[in-house]
Amino acid sequence: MNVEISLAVNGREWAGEVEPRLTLADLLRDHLALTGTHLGCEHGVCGACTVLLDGQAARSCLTLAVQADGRQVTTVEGLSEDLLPRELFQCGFCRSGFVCSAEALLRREPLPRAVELPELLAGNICRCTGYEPILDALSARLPG
Amino acid sequence: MPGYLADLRAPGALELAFVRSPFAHALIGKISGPAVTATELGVGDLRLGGHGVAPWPWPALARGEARFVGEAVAVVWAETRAEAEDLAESVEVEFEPLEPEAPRRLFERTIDAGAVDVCFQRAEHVLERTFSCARQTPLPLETRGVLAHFEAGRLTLWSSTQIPHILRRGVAQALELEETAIRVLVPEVGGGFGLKAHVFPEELVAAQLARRLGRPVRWIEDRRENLLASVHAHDNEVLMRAAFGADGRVLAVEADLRCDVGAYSVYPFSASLEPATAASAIFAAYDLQGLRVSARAVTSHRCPVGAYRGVGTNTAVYATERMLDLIAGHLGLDPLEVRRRNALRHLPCTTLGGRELDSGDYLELLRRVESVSGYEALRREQAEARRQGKLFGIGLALFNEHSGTGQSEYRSRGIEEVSGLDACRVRVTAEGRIVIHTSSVEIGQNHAPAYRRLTERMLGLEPGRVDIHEGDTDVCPPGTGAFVSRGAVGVLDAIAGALRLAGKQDLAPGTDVTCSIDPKQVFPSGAHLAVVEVDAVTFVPRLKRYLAVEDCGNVIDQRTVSEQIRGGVAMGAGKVLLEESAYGEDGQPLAATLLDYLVPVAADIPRIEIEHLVSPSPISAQGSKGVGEAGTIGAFGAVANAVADAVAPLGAELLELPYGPQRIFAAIQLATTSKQKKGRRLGG
Amino acid sequence: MKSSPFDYHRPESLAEALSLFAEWGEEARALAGGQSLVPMLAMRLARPAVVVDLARIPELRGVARTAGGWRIGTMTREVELERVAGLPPIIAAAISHIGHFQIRTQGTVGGSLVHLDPAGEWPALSMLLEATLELASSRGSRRLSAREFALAPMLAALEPDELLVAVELPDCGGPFGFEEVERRPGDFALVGAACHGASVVAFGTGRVPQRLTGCEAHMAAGGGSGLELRKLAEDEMEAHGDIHASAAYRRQVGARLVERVVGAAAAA
Repeated sequence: MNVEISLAVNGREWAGEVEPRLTLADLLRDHLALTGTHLGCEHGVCGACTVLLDGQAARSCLTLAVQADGRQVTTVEGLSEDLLPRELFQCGFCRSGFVCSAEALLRREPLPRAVELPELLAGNICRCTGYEPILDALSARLPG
Repeated sequence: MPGYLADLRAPGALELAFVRSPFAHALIGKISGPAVTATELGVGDLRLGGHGVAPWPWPALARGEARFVGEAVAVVWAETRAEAEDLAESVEVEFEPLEPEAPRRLFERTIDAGAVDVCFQRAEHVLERTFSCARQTPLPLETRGVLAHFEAGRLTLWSSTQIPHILRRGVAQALELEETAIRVLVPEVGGGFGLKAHVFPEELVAAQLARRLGRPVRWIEDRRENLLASVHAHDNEVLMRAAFGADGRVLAVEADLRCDVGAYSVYPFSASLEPATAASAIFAAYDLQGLRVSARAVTSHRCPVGAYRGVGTNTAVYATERMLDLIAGHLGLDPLEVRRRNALRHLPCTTLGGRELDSGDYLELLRRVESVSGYEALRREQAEARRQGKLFGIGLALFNEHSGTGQSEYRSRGIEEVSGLDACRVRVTAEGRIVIHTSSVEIGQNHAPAYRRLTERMLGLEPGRVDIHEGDTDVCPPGTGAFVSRGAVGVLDAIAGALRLAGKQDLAPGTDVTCSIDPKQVFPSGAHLAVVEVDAVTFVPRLKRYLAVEDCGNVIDQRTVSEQIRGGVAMGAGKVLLEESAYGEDGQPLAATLLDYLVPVAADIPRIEIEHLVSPSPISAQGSKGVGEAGTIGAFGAVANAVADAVAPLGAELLELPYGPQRIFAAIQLATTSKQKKGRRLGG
Repeated sequence: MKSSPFDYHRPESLAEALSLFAEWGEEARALAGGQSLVPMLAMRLARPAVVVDLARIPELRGVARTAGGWRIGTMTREVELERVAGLPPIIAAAISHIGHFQIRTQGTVGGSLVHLDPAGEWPALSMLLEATLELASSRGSRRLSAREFALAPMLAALEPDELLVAVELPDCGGPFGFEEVERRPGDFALVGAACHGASVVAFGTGRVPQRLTGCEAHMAAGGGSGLELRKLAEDEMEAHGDIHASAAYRRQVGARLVERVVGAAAAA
């Protein structure tokens, strides 16, 4: 039995019917054509599918689309290109998740200290870079 | 580029799901439900194995028997992946579990060079150990995927692949199509690391179903399939004996390698992949008087073994470097000094293992490691840490690796399917734009800027006139693809060659020239140092510091080289500390999620220090060598030795990867119990 | 890796939710934050006919200071709890070990308690602090101790028509120790231990979090942290082996953690 939902994605309203089993990630990718959000594991570990849900970082593969009903979703498409630019990455597949996690950290009060960054970002896997360029770019955006 | 494979718009595409074997070995009986089976699919085998390799092809769908957990037995399709999975679940397969089959030997490489027996007779010391590498899997963050469409007698195959032309050849063969009737297109690739350098059963199935059903067919691998049924790697055991003098000079080495290659031989590399690369890499950076190696590929009821960054060289360097540290420990010598005494001094040279080393300065690599790391001070720091009860280890590795493998090496392993060639086509458009097509593909190396700069420099062009276009078999010249760190070797040579040809035609609009190169292997080298602290209570190892001194000949693009080294080291550290595709005794895989297959996260990797030494290659046209795998290979020696060094004062000896807390704990336990036993014996 | 199909209900009141569970029983699964259930759905390890989303039930939310301690609604997300003023530091310490921050924004206290992962922080904390779990069904409500609630790994003492409404914790300020061995930050613990007051618990070791009564008796008799305590812990700890650690590892390292957490609780 399909369920009607409506949500705001990157500031734009979307309404439609979805199967209850559809994840938020699949809703974004298959129904809204927002393919910037990637699926790397579909069980909440790799972090590639991270989005902002009501301003907080969340795994879109661990969130059913019906759970996002009435809520605000921000994806990589709705965030600045300058926040962790593409050149920092190699294959780039993990970037969308890092961008959303980084945005969530930057919105946090109080801001995390740079020394904590490697542990804070432990929920996003990158197989290419060894993380250094990503950590450097993000810590440069954090005060002090 | 239109995004990654799963991002491609594919209106009307059918989604595939596979029915997979839950048994390590079983007879397949009746299959009921809406599925297509091997007999109905009608796809031929990927022919494999020329001289020296026993053919043992991985079928598109299991025929009669399933040989590993996760093997595709039947296929279903639906409008969505979720519905396809519903269908797959509804299919009933009568499996009759079978006992495991005795291992089959598919390939063997032997080396017997120099005066091995004499050296062992004369040597003051002989040390023998068995080193095990863990079975691992490349785990690109983007899983495999394929989108097939058959229209007007032509198959268009989008694939997340490192080998478009080899894929075209494999599919043509299995589906009995002309190669010209197939176009392979490669979108953005979310990492490969060797995994995507194979032709897979699922690609054949998708292509055949697209032809049969007349609709686009798509398969996006999920992570569980990826962990169980893509390719694994490095499942090697090395029994090594070294004969050496009291001065730490190693005279001769014997090594016996058993490489578990899983249920089938992969296409195109065959089962020769790990044993052939490992054999010649044993002690390859060191001066020996005798070397005897036997390296065998044997089957098992596990996922087939394929390429993963560093391939067999990882195993060889791991065993070699661990053995050198054990020798140093045995004699009470410093590990750096032992390496200095054994390093090859006169390059170019040919090693006993048959490597034709083109250039390098191994003593200088060691000197640089010593000075840049502040080696003496580091050892003092270690002594102080040990006084405080810390388990603080320093590990070294000196190594070389092959890059840019050409035709003759593949032929010598009986592999006809890999041409070994690299090619470049240069076109000049009517508007005067220079278009570069290569036989390689972009999988995250970011090679386009380097190609562009080389073009601008060679042709004296102002920036902005050069386009790079790869990953399309209709326009790109045939060649080998992107693996074995060949980008800076054969591919660059081919580009330079094609540019010269184009230059001869004054870049006139309409110019269309192609240059194909059969590269000769060149050998980058490196000396790495790692510092590890093992928690004295929990035995969790933490990598604290890493220095890579790298020699990849002339550096084409500094940033790319550093990125490759850094990422490679991180991956290698993960392979030493974390990654393991474990199986139970019954052949059931135990690492089917990313909670059980562990890869490094940001907190696991320190800042990687990188130093460059430049010994230009006299062979490759640019004097450059491949750099894609060096970081990983070095880490296999340096990180492993650092962990081992950290716990050496406790008498523990680490031999089996990965060096996680459990293995470290067990090694310490073993050392403690055997010390107690010894004590009791002496006391009694 | 897509879930099998199910029907979805999102009741707006506890009564409505309980009547759904009464109707569907074992065929229904409660959806709290989804951080454990959704991956189980994706892997088809859970295949409910009906999923009941608890997100819009006001009775299940909120953190309240009570006469004797704290009452935490089952749908309280970890990130909300982190921000509660005056939260006992032992709870903050335990929460900091739960997954990654992207998980804690959605993960709920009740979800973790009912999921009962042997290495889960909430089951361990509930056992350590002798929490009381408030269960409700359309038949009425009842209260269980943490020990009664935790039957087995992934198995809570919930009847098919029952729902965890809240967890009550006693006052739990003051010194404590809480330690985990994680191979990577955010991983499930290979082994963990915690101490508060006269209680000691080991988790990630056996089937469910284990109160170490021998160690507790040792402490009650005036014994401190040290070799004797470690030996006691090692002897009484139930431990299992898996691909990440052997039973021997869990027992020995777990005993060292016990020594540490008891020391920390005493020293602070």
